[in-house]
Amino acid sequence: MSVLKVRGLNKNFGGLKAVSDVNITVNQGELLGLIGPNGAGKTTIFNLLTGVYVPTTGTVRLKDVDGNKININGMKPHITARHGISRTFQNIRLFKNLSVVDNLKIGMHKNIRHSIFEAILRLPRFIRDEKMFEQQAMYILSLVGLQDKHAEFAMNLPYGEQRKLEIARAIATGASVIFLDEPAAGMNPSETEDLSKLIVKLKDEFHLTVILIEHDMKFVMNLCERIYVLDFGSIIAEGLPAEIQSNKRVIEAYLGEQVE
Amino acid sequence: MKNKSITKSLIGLVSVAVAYVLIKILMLPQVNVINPFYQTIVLKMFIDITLALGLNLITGITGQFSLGHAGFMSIGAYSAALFVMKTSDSLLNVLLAALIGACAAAFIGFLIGIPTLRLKGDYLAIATLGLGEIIRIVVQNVDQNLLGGAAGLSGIPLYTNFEVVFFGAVITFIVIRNLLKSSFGRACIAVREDEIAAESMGINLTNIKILAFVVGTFFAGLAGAMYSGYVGVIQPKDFGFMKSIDILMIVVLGGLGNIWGTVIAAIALNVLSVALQDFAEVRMIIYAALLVLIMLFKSGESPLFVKLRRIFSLPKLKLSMFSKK
Ligand SMILES: Nc1ncnc2c1ncn2[C@@H]1O[C@H](COP(=O)(O)OP(=O)(O)OP(=O)(O)O)[C@@H](O)[C@H]1O
Ligand SMILES: [Mg+2]
Repeated sequence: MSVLKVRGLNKNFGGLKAVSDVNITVNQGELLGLIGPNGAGKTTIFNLLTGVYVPTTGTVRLKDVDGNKININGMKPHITARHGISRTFQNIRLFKNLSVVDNLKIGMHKNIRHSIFEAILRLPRFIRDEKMFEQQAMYILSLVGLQDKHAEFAMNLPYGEQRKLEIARAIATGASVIFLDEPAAGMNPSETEDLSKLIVKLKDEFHLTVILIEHDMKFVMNLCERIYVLDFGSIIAEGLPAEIQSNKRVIEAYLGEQVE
Repeated sequence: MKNKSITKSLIGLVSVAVAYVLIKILMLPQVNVINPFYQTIVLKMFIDITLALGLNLITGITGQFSLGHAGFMSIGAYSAALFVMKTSDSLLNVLLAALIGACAAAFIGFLIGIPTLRLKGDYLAIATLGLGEIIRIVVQNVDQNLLGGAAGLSGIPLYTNFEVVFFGAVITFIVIRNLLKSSFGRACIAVREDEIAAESMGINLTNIKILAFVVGTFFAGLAGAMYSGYVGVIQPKDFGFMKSIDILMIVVLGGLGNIWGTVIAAIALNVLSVALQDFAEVRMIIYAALLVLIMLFKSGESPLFVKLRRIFSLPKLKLSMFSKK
């Protein structure tokens, strides 16, 4: 059963075809990998699916949290977020001057049930929401192992923990589909190993569908159930990790790059 | 957790009461520490606090540069003055006038905010600068009989006393502080920190920016209403670009997003300008030079200032802890 159906997706930047005629189907509860050489268009696809960019052409169909099928192409990010999509960023984008726990609470803001007047007057519904946010945020932080640092400013966390915090923040939105853009970038092998376990744990706990971009092949091949390979904006292969590893076109695409 | 917040509110309430009584005692003719001349400065100080807290929400907390704050102040000033002049300066009417002034400014803030807040950074600064001037010119040229043209309004009842500005500023502080420490305030900070990330986490950028702008201009209007009853004569030129810069200076000096800093900076700048009044000729030069020094001290990159900051890091740290929780 698919949660996300991408059909005929194109994105041009001026004369550059960053994404061309991409079709992707994501199944419910799947852990999907999106790989490809630098500049292949992976991040651009994430930006298109989350609403940061508007597709030049193409449709993105999402089965949202309530099971309704809707077209989300062209919707703004805060709308796609409301429909249960969330993400992390290749270049970490935390709210640096907010505490760790407050970073998570930003993801929950869209769920508030009190008005601004209730917040200013500190009325019961405000207090109830705040209490609920605090509990949920602390629970998610405990799962990623950051509960002891909840009061720390996000910018004071070491790099690896910032990556984890971004994942925690994405989950805090209550999303059902999560995009992770190079979550293991800059991590050492043991951190990467931990991250793999963490992603699986969170996916099971919150019944997530996870789509991730990663250059660390060992990480992708061990973790992902299925993989799409992108090169020059087009999908050149799709399949199980073992199939991808022995795919001729994929090897060519990567060998062409290995010169670097 | 609930007990803690009640204790905190109580402490806040007691400090407000203590501050009020203390200033009142210092103002007593028998004590005469704050003599009638200083009293006018104290009133101006509280009006400045109100103005700057509103701008801090827009510029410091939400990160939307505005150079038109004085324009919104003028809307509050004119509407409140007109209302009191057409009715009376009874307490009820003064309170109503303050509310009308604040709401009028917030309404115009809302109308202007919708198109302008799409702009970012420098562009927004220029646009708000222009709009502030447009408000001033419109006020000057529309219906001279009603608004008095360039000569402005005079003979406004002097309804603003210490109580008005004190409680006006205290209410402003409480509202902005409670807002800051709520989900809305966090959303404002998130918008300032990273728009793309905030939007991807479900924050409606337009809503949050307009919210901050409307609340900020509401308090500019309130300050304007208090200002009218304080000076008795208002003219469009009182609300020009330079006034907006004055307010921005308080916000920047106190630290963007730091509401206690805003209060302290408003007090410090007023004290400074009183202290310098005996040096009439060089006053503006000293004032400006001190501002440059303070800015260099706060954010200078050369080794000297970095070192100075490190030497003074203890009090600075304490100050920022003061503002947090
Ligand atoms: N906003 C933009 N404007 C113009 N060109 C862009 C824009 N965003 C991306 N591109 C271009 O689109 C192409 C694909 O970029 P993208 O960031 O999607 O690659 P990627 O696969 O994520 O690469 P990497 O592995 O290095 O992160 C690149 O040539 C890039 O320069
Ligand atoms: Mg990328």
